[in-house]
Amino acid sequence: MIIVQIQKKKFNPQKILKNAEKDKNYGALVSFVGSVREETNSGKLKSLFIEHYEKMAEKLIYNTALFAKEKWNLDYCFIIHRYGKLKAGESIVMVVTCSKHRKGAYAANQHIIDWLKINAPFWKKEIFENESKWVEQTL
Amino acid sequence: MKVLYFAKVREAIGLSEENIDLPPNVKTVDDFLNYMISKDKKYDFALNNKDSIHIACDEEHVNKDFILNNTKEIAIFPPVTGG
Repeated sequence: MIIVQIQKKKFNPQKILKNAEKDKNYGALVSFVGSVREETNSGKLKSLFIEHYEKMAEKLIYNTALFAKEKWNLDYCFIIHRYGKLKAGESIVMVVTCSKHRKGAYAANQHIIDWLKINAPFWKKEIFENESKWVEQTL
Repeated sequence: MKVLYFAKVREAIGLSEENIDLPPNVKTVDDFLNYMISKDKKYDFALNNKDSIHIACDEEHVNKDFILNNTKEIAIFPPVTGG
């Protein structure tokens, strides 16, 4: 099963994990959660603004999940990514991968998040007390 | 053709999208960028550093030598920073 969600509203990683754990057919579950850091290289963050290209993001992320599902024989792949205004501590992205064995679940999860970083059309802008700036890509 | 702008590029141009009629000599993405840069100072400012400009045609990442045959929507943006 593949589930891709791109949304403005907050999500609860614990709730997502609980839903993923309902299916006990797999032997391994790996989850990754990326969050907004308050302390950045430019100082204390007030909020983070995420802009996205909706149609392209949905299509590319789904295709990547499909690729990972086939390559690592996943039973379950869940990807969620937020856009809009986020506060420090809030979750930005979560990837859950489940397979029969741990190697596939780990490899697929890492592939998906690494792929998202360089291909998914999202752009972060850091908002500070007196300034704001677009985040530069770091690989 | 529908042209979309995102993030830093959108702010520099002051628009999130517009429709542009391309002249017949614009065949590739690179031709398209050169045409846009020649249009106006704000496009020049936003797009002249071509190495930091990424392009998607009909929602697929493409290189600068991509041929714009039948492309309906072209998106211009800086390197992505999601995840």
